[in-house]
Amino acid sequence: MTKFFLLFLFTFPVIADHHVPDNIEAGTNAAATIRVHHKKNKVLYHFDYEQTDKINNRVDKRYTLGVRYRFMKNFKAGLYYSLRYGQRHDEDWISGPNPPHWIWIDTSKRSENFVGLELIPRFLVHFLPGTWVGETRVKIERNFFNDNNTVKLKPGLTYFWMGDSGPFMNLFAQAELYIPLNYGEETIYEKWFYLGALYHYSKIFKPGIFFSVYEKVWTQTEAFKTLKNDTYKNTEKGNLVGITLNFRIP
Amino acid sequence: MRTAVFIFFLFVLFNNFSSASEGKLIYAKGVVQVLDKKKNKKMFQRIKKGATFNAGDIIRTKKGALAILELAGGSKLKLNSASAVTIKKAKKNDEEVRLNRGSVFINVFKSKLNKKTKPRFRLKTKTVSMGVRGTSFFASFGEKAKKKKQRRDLWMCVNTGLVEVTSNKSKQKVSVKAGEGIKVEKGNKISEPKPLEWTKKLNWNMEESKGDLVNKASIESAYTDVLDEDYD
Repeated sequence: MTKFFLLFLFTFPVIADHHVPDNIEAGTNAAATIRVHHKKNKVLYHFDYEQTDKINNRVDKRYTLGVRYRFMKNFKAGLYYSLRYGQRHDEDWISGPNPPHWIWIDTSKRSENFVGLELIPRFLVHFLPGTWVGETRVKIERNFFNDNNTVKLKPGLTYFWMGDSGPFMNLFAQAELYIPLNYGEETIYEKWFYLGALYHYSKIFKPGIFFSVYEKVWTQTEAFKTLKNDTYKNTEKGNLVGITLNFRIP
Repeated sequence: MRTAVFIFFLFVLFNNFSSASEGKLIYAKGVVQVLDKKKNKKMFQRIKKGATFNAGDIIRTKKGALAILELAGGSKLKLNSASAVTIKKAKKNDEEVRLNRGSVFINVFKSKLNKKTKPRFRLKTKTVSMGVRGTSFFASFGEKAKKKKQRRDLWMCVNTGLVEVTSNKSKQKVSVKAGEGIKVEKGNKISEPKPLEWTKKLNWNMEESKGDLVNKASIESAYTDVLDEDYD
């Protein structure tokens, strides 16, 4: 009886505290993207709206405005501003006063401002049959909400299915790796893999679909480490099935 | 004596008239026009099937039109919509045409001359010269020029035979084999010959009895710069 009591006494705080977040298997969720482009000479102006359906009670919404310039045949660079809602960071795992247990903050209505630089080298892949374009996009992004700086590497391969008057459809495969520069414990904080297709309905409208698989890693903050004298590494995994609607303003 | 001289004069005159005709329009759809240089005409005149033309004449098609020309040397040209050529020479074993704008299919009269012989058909543009040996090929010039002094691109592909392309500026020479095509961007470097996907859809037919003559494959597909496509 005493032994049982002592066992209960030692385990109860851990059970009651539960200060380490659970791994999340988010399953498959829906996403949608609307893009509007306008090109003038070598400059592309773009507006994007992206929304991901509720994953673990979070709706991720992004409004991005940007510009890209084609410096050379194989190289573009751009700047963008992005307003986002529903982002989650390591520091959003907090100890709530009421109820008194650890929770993820609901950030659905919290706005965050991002600014980014993107570098886009592209090249034709001659050794593959047909028309293939390879790309290794690099983004350097700053989040002004928490001063997080991130490098995003996005290599991709696109096949252009050519019709009588230009591309008819393109099929693409991409990976995206998030490398935190001044936060987190992991070298790669987040990973995405995309497969998709875009149908060139007209010069103005191109609808598409995509499927993606992602994995995010959550680790403790310094504050958590000081408070709990503990560390953790948890993952959120999930899939997205999405549609994309691309519009071009002539 | 006077009679002999007169007959001789008539003979020479007749020969001049008959040999002056460098070719004939053997098919016309839509508006096909000629600028007759010999008669010092300053305006294009509409011509119909059966009309003849001479060295120096400019033949053009309006939008939606199609013309097939047969040169005195035996070669045939299918002039596509909104295109223009100048007939420089069209004699047997010595044919030269200048492509002013648009696109043209060319079916060179098969020569029995061997490979070492100088090409008997030449197609020229402002930027390149193409020497042809018994072949059929397609050339398109000047689609994208918007500014007056801007040099225009040339696309060329070969159906049968061999075409030697020479850049007027750099004197670079490239041989293009059957099934291959090249691009000369703004009169500069000639690209490496390679199969161009859209050329498989070109309509090479030049005989009305064999079916549709109109080429529907758009050169636009060749102009799509896939490296400039942004979709995310």
